[in-house]
Amino acid sequence: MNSSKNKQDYELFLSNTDTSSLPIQHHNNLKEKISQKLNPSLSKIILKLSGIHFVVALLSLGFCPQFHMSLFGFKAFYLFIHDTFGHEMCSLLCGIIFLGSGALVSAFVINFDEKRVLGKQLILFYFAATLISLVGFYLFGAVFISELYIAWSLGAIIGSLLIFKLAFLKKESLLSFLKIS
Amino acid sequence: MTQIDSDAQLLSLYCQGDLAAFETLYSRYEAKVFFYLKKKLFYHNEEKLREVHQDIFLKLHRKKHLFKSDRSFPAWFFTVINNHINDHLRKSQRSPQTTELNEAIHPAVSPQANESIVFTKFKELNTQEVNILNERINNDLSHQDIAERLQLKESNVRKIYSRAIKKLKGKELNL
Repeated sequence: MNSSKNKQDYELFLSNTDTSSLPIQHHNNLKEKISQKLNPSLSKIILKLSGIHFVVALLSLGFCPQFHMSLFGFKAFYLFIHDTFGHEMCSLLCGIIFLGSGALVSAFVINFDEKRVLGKQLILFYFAATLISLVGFYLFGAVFISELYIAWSLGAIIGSLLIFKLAFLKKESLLSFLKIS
Repeated sequence: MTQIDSDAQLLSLYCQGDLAAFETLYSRYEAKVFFYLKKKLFYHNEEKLREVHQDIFLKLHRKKHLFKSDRSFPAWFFTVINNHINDHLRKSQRSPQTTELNEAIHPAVSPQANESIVFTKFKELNTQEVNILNERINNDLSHQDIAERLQLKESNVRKIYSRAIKKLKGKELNL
């Protein structure tokens, strides 16, 4: 569309002479849809986030064992990180991968309004997710070494929060770059 | 406070979850959008127009956080509307109504080839040509009825209609 045609169309848009309003039913339908989208339920958002984290975290066990627990017995990645960076750094990275990978996917699934409703509860969510994950590993017989708890938890909480916020901030530009949006 | 400033403020409130801000914005733009859609789309069926109208406001909802406060809201919203109209036209290329219109314009060209050509070039017609084409093909009015409705001379309506058809045919031949 050339610029003069565009300008002409813009003037047409602004110069509305049609004063007849649309049926009230049309307005009410739209208002109801917008209202639902604008203020989604917090419990549904938490459920959605939990589902994503559960699936993605489980998949991440396929290539990154946590506390010696792995999904398919694949340990090459763990051994490489462990031998290169040592115990603490390995635990930190494991925490980042376990919850951060879910945070990355969540940032692309959660929309603007869901994030707004989630607000500061996101921090609580990642605290809870970290705690639940540790309890889960313990119940499934994971080998815990006390000094590595903190490194893993720090990696999980800080890493996932940073990844979520950064990915959410950049997702629009990334999606338009990939022409998905 | 100017209209533009208050629109931007309303959008900001809307982004913070204020439904009343959306309603005010909607009341300001519902008729403008509907009027513009009537002029740009070829639907004599108001129900279809209302569907597109609703989709545009749902798109505004999805895109609202992308608005930059240093821009004019009407200009930005106009871009959102035009993008939606283009997407909508692309999606509805294969509708029976489109085929009917294409056959009227050039029956010799295969409907499938014709559909994409006509609709990508349609927006290059001016508003008057679009209106007359719409009345003639979608509403099945005679040249005389169109002239009465649009308060033009019948001979002018014939000329404009014929020019619009030629433009569309011309675009095909140039391809």
